[in-house]
Amino acid sequence: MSAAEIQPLAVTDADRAKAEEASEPSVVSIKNEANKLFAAKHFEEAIEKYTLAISYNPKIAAYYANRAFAYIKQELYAAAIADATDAINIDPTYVKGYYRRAVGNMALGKLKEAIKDLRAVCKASPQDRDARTKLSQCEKELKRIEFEKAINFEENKVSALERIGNVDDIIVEESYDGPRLPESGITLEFVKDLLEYMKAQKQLHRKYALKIMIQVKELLEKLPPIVDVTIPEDAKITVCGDIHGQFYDLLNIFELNGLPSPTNMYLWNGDFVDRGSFSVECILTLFSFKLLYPNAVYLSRGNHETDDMNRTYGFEGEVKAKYSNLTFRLFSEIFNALPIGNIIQSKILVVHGGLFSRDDVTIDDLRKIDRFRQPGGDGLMFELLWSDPQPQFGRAPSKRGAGVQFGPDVTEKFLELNNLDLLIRSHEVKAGGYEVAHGGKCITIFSAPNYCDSGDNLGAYIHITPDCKLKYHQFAAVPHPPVGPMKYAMMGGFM
Amino acid sequence: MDRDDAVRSTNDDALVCKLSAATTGYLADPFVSVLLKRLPHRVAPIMHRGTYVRTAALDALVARFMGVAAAAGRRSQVVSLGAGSDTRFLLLKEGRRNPGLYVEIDFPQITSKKAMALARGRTTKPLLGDFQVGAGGAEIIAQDYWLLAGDLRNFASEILPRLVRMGLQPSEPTLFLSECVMIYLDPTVSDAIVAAAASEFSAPFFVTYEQILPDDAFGRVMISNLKARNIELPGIFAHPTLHSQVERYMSAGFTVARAIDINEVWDKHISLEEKARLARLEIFDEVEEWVLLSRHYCISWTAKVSDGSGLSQELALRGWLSSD
Repeated sequence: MSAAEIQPLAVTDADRAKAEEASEPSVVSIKNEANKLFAAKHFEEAIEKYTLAISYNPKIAAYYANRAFAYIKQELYAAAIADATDAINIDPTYVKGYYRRAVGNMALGKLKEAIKDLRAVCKASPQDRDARTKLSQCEKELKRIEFEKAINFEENKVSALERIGNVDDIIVEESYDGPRLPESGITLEFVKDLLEYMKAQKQLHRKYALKIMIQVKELLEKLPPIVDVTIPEDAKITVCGDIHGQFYDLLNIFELNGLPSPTNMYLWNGDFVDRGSFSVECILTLFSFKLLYPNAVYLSRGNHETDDMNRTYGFEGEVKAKYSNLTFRLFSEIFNALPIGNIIQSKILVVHGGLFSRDDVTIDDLRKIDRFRQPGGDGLMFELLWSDPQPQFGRAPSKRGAGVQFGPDVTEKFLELNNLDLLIRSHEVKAGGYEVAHGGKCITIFSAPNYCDSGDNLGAYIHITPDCKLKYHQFAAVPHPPVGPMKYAMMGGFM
Repeated sequence: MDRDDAVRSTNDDALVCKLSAATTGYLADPFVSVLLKRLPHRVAPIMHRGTYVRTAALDALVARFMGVAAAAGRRSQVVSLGAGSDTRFLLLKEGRRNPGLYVEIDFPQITSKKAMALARGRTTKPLLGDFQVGAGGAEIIAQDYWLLAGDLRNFASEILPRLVRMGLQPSEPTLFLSECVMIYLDPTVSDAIVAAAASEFSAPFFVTYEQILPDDAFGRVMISNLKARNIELPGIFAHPTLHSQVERYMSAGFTVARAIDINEVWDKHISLEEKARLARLEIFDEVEEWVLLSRHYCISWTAKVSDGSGLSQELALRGWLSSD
């Protein structure tokens, strides 16, 4: 037969049906499903569907922008910003991308970035009143913040020490019946007396509190950002996680595990203050032991040893109530001097939060960090204090909107690159007080049991011997004096 | 401190939270500071958020109720049970969006302080219009606002008859509001209040905000913390779930009811813009605690709609919290 004689077969309905079954689901229909889920406020499922759509066609800006919107509804602002950025990169003329990114940045307080994007939106869509309103909101807010900063700048340039003056000149009243710091320096007896005194809810005289603080500040300032810890032959070290002002639980740790001593070493991995009502007692205890046994007691900074957190979560208020505003400013400077990590036996890295948003970070990089500041909003120091491990491989935007979430592969790569065996961190409550993750390479240790009087969790600490063997010990909460409605807002809840 | 004193003290907690939320910028309320001059302590962000959500939700429901009544050409009446230091009436009156009548009832120990503050307050006195102070200074009776002393345990026997004698119209749409109040009452008492509302009124509405879920770890700790302050929540065991909140109204004679928890209110009924605005007020690092806490509070609302009331289009009560 010649070519002209071959006729195409008629396509029947049955053929069509078969073809539809066999072909891949249309990406557009997936996106439509996602939109429907979004409209029905099932944001998590909408995100899943958008993700599926993206996997089929990663070149559509709208998919990323829509997913960004869903992330915003979930308050996962960092994720929203990442998606919006992707949308913009794919199509720089897609106005919604800039808008979504602006909203995400606004939620995170990143006003400068939000303003940039909102200006772009206003330019492209001059009739968009909402964008214009948001823009002027941001600009006003930014002006207010810059103004405040300018006022505070002069204040903060002077160390609190200069304004406190000579502590030796402070006279202690006859009526003060608490422990007095010996002229020759801190002693174990003093510290024991101090613990008893504070346990009875009495307050160390501000003269001695300041003296301890000044001495600890001098000591800490001499330390590098990452401190190496060696466990002598006959000793062990106990690593504790967050204690968050839970002084009576801290005393219980000493009951169970003994007071610090040259052979009973301790490392506290940040978040000593805030949330709990006895943050002042906790921090004075830790500072005292640090002065007493500088080579057996180690303190590392947590994200709560910072101004922003202290202002909001109770420590600043507690210090102001118990001592003074200046005393708090001095605490703030001391926190700036805290090291931000420890390495035990050259093999175990202990930091408060976790690892980083990029792969090639070395311990040398960390040793070069200038830590004498507030951690800011990004960078190695910030991530060290804020990141969280995740079970999935790779990295993800932090659900907190701060730092990053890192997977088992990230941990493994980091440890290998730096010739380390283990990462110990804190920062997250765990029901059993600790958690072993990332195939045993990432441990979370948390030492505030019944967290905030409502966590119902155990606390835990880790014993580490010179051979780097770990043993976990869990403990439950102990009673504490009923705190006035002052500090624990959550105690009774809303009324 | 006896039980009643302890219950009255919960008003102080709520007032502190409200003032702090207003001062921090969550709520626009120039009247709280008339009732409390100084914050005795800091309030955590989680409490700010919860106070904001509960206020926003109840405000929306009250506004919707008034809209429904107005659309049907009827006078709206609000009876706020155990109102304490609530400033809702003042805010509504200031915005000229107040109902035909707004009644507040609480213990005399609480109403006397409030009456004095309102009657003398530079910003509050004008809002009262012509008013009389009664019951030895414990009550205020104005044209559209009654601040009355009473014990809710006598609601059906004494308070309600008195209200009707004074001019509360059982035939007009009436919203009963219990913002964390009935939970402190014996369930037989709160059931009697709900039943009275349903039976004595032609078009009753009821809105309640209170705790739920006593039986999980968080609930147990919350209850034991309150017990340490001599505060009991007898109501929580009678209506421990969203479902039982709906049931309590349906079995009392209401025809339609809904209940959702505060976590859901935050997630689904607070606008994105508002959330961004709040996020700029202060750091919020209590996400897990928020989910836990907010799931233990609910808002329930209900109506009894009979034919011919002109209110039947609102039967479903859907969309009362946002324009969905």
